[in-house]
Amino acid sequence: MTKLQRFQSILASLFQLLFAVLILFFSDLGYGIITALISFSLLLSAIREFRYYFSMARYMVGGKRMLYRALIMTDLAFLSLSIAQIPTIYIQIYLVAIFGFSGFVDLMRALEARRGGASSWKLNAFHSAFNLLMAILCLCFIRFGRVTEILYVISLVNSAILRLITAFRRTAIIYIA
Amino acid sequence: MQEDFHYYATYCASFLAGFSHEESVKIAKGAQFVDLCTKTLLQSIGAPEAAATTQLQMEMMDAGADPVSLQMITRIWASFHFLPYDLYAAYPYRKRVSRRYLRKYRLICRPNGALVADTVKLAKGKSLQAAGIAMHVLADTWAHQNFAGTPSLVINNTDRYFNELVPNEENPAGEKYARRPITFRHALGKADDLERSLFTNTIYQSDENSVMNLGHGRAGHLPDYSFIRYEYQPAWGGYEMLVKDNPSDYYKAFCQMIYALRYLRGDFPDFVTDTYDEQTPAPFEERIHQILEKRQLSASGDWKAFGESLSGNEVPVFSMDAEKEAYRAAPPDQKDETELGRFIVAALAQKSMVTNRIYTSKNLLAGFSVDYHSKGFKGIREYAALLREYRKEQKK
Repeated sequence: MTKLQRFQSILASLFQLLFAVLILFFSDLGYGIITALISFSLLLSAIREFRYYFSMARYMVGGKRMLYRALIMTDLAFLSLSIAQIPTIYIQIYLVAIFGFSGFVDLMRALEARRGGASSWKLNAFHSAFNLLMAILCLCFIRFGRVTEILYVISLVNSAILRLITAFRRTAIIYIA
Repeated sequence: MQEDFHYYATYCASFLAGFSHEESVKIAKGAQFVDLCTKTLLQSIGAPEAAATTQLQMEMMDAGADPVSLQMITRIWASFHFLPYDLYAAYPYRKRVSRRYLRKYRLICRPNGALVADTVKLAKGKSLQAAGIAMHVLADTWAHQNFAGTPSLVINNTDRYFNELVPNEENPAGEKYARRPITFRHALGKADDLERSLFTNTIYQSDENSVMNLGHGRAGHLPDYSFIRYEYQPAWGGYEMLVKDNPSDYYKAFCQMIYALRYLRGDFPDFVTDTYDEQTPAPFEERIHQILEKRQLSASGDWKAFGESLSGNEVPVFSMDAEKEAYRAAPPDQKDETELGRFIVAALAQKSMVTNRIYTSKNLLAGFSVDYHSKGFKGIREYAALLREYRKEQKK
């Protein structure tokens, strides 16, 4: 990791923690922040996609597709910004899908690690149980927006901690000539 | 390449190069370990995870797309399966390309690059397992050429246009090969259907850094079959058709392995790229070509029989369990002396060397390399095994 990448990781995790606090303590702002975050991330993805097209994808077979994707994504980002209120149910479904998929992948990973005799299967199983539990809770409390907000906060804090750990990991490889 | 070439053909090449039956088995095992030594396996025996030479599918899915994970993936695949050909290459199809693109382009694997020579020379005077690793890496530069050992859509993706080139039996007077369209499917666990030219490949993912775009995933197992000839349009190739002739490439790989192994034995003072020992296998050339051209999913049986006819000894069926058990049972200070222990030390050395070469070419795709002599021991602690090895050599 370069110094800039470390700095970006730390900054991103601090922002995540800040948003988590805002959602937790200012419940009336909760969904507004979540939708703004989604719009912002869509816009960022669109910018990244444009950069990807102009710096790399235009040289490859079928690269034009990336340009169209970037245009559509920009459109979606502005569209979601212009919608005053997204029904909360969509955000909740999004969270259920994200937690469910992560839980499934972790479960597969745990089973594979256990088959291979690796001790890491317990950690994978724990992650899987955590994510699946979050998905189930989101589903059970789909009518209660506040509970979903809290679950989203938990996932934000979890992601921020993981980013911080990554930012401080030793990554260099020794070379002895 | 698969077990047929990495284990059995490596055994044959070692024996032809002058190693004994026992030594040849050890070299072949070292070559085969490379395709099995995953992080999960290393965890199960309490060995350093940094020595992983391959990844399970779930490990790759689990790895993520953050820079650290991508560097870890690139270190494994570029060091052992897709050795970069030219880390300073210019892009031939356009004058101006972005640095981002160029960094990925420069990781494309091809035979006879400077890194192959570095790999073989690194194994000189080291264990037989180190020789095995070098043979795996060298052989893969032939099989996996034109793909890069880093997740990249712009390099590793392929077009829909994919044809197998089969001997033109209907019109022998016309072109030598006829085109047969190849169909790809995403049926994990299903064997490729050679009769209907149905092959499994990875799913198209438009994310540049998706693991689906790693190496030859988009071309399925085609590069791993010795019998196949095919044409396709690689994403990096300026829309030009590329023809891959595996039987010819695999034979060159075999001859280069014999030359490299003879260099490791001390028959030659230096290892020079683009040099092949064609004389030693010449009496068996027809038989080797028959094995290479036979249309089958695995040529293990044929290579095994050939190896046994060469040495007059049975080539044991490869099993990882005995090696794992020997490593587990060894006392902590003796682990580096087991077959798996020696392999682990050699794997760490290979990864460290390739990472250093990529890093010094101002390319961070494989991560940071720290020179021990100028900066001391820094970075991932599991590489301490290299320091132990270095100190042992210094004492000698």
